[in-house]
Amino acid sequence: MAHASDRYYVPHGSPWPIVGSVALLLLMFGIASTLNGAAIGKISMLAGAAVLLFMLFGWFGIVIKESVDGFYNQQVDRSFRMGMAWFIASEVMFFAAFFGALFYARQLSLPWLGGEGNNFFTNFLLWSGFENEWPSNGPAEIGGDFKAMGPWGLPAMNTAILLTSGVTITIAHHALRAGNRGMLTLFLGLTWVLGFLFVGLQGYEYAHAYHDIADGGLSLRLDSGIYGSTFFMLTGFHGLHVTLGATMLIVIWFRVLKGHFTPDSHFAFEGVAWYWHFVDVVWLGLFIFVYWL
Amino acid sequence: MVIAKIFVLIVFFGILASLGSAMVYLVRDEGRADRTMWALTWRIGLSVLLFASLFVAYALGLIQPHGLTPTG
Amino acid sequence: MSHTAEAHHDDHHDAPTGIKRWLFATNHKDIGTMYLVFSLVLFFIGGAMAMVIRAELFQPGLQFVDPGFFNQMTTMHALMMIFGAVMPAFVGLANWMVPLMVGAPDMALPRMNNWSFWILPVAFSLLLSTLFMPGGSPAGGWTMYPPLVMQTGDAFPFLIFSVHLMGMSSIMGAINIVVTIMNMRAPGMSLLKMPLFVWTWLITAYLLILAMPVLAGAVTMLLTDEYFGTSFFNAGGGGDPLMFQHVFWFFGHPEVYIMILPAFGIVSQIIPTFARKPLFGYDSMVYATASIAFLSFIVWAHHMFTVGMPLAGQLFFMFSTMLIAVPTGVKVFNWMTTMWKGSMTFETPMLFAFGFLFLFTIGGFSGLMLGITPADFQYHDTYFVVAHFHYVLVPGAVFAIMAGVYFWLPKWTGHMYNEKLGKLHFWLSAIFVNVTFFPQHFVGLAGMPRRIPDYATQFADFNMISSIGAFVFGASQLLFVYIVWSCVRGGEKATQQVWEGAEGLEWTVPSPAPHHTFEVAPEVK
Repeated sequence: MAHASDRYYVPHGSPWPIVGSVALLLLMFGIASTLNGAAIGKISMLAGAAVLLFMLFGWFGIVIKESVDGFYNQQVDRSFRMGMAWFIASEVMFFAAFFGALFYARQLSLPWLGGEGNNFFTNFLLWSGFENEWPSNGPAEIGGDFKAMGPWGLPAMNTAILLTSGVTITIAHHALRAGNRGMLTLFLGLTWVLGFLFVGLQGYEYAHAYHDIADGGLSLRLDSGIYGSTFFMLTGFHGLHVTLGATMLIVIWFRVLKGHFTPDSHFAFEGVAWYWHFVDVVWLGLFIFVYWL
Repeated sequence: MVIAKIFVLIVFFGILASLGSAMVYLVRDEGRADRTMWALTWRIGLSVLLFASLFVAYALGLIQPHGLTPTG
Repeated sequence: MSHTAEAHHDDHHDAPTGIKRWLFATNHKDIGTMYLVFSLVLFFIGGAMAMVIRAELFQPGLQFVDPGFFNQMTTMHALMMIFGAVMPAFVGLANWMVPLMVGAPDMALPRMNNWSFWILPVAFSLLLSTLFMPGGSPAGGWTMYPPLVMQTGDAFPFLIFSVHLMGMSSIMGAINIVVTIMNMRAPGMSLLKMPLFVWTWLITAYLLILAMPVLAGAVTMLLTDEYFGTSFFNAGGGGDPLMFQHVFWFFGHPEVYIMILPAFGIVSQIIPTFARKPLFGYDSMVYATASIAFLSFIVWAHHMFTVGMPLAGQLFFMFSTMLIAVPTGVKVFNWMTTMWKGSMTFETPMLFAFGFLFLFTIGGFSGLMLGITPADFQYHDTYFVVAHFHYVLVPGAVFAIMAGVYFWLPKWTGHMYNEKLGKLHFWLSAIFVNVTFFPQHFVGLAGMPRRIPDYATQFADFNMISSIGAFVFGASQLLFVYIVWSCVRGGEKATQQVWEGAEGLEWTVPSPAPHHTFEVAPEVK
């Protein structure tokens, strides 16, 4: 390649960020208008999502092309790695806000509503007879009767699936470092299949939760008080991240098929693999804190 | 009971530590060493151990999941 | 450097022209300029809202606008100034100066740099469009406390999503700055040789990365509470409206330091330059900045002493708040000691830095008063609070930004600005910022509540003084625009070093700084 690796690669200019901004404008305007009940909202939302997808293809496409063409030296590689690390830090803080809400509700607001500390009169005058317990949909029993999601059955199975995918990606990682492309392709492929299996089962679990108790469901919905709120927000945002991670796994799987990675140069693989482990650990944390502790 | 919960928490912190150190190695080694890979191997190994021990602890009656009882 | 590499990189020098230069920009200087122009525009939009507020408060009774619109103005003024004016201005300065100061060819992730800027116009178009919606703009205060904020009309989802977008922009900008500083320093530029502006921005960027996602989480919960039936902030469902305040201020207090740490950095560049002495206590400045950043995460509940917390909580947050005075004091004394026996001159940047030192310290002291729990029960939600945070934000953050602009303008444009007009701008600003905000201490202590369009007649005199001060302060900022504009157009040629006492890599490149600098990393000794 003509490009010297002793220089930091700075692109000439790129249309993709501004395309991304237009996408966000359409998308956010669309969602907000839909929430306000305006008919234009849905069209704008779909258009925004389409432009966003177009942007992602274009942007990642050019980065992959530049990477394959050897424009990036070690320093650029390090920038990507550091950028990813700090992006993950921000993700952790985003999840922390929702885990914080869960702990706050369980450790503070529900005990206070139940009269703990100096809140006797809160309980006595406002919510007489309410006792602190978990799971709870609060003293007003918002959303009506519900059953909590138990840990056996689907949640345990989903945990097992996600952990298995963690094992397969680790095997793929070892295979990549050992230069064994057959094993790499096989186990990386297994990983994303397991990832989407998880998402599918999660969808099934949600459907089960949403059905009425009378119909054999749990009557557990997003509006089932603080339990439903925290349950669906935490698992929902997690599911979103699994979907994202599995999609990225597919992308790097195709890149493996094309032979983009070598045992010594494979940031995209390491980044996605790490992200997958991260998503897996978040689930494990959810499984422990939402169902067990 | 409490000891089982503390055990779960300790293993979980071990998982977090191995995941975190994998990230540090990911940035430092730039894919030219095996430290990231081994840290991630530790993290999945510990996770499988934790998952299995939850079943064992439950079978021994050391720990109870909550949320099996309907409320409302 | 091989010849082929040289030849290849020549084509980087044909900078794109016209609209493409700005829309597709990947150059840190172009993007920095866009940030700065954007923040200036938002400064005037937010300023116009402040003028509406002060006009309404000129006399007791309802004068010009109805109370609902008044509340929209206070809410929008805050959002515009915090997220639109102050933060983008600091990011713009960082974009321009950090690569120059550490000897980097550009920001580490140039495309993402462009995106983090171009998200901002989207965010603020969405937010400003709410002014024309049924029910008007958000009017529940920039802190968006539920349940009040739930009464926002059609503007509600626009408010939430614009906050999400501002957060995205800030996080991407912060990641870029961290990576640039950690990965792009010239050989020999060890961490403890970095200019303080770089240090304070590094720490600010960490704060942004850790604090902004929490705000995103908080407003997401507001959104789902409003539209999807969740109960995060509904006591009936087992949640708690108070929880929002905790989550919000967990973001909000670091945010306060996000808006002041870069200002500390700018002042730490300017004072040594015009005192012609190296900064006193460089290491202690770095450690003090880091301590302030750490403490900022454990003081949040001092914004909510009156909500009814357990006593232990009140004590903890009072003492942790008091602790912040220690590293801040270290900084103020270091700046003073830097000037001690210095060979000082008072060009406009130094005047603004000096004004900062003086007036920010007043704001710091009133903050200390507010941090005392029992005293805060009297001050809470009065004009004393308004006076306090305007002292740290206007003659604090804004003065530091202006000081930075005057300081670096010759490097950006290649021309000296008009020194006489610059000094006039400083004196008008410094005098009238005090006329505006000092009386607010008095009315606050006497019990005038904030965010109220009308007030008891005993507050009339001080409010009128305050309004007059605000009008003159606002008008004198037009002078700033004129000075910057005329400096861009022409003026006395600036030298490479610009200021006699200036030291650092940024003063070793020509003025104006060429489109690409440090393509070959300089050696730092």
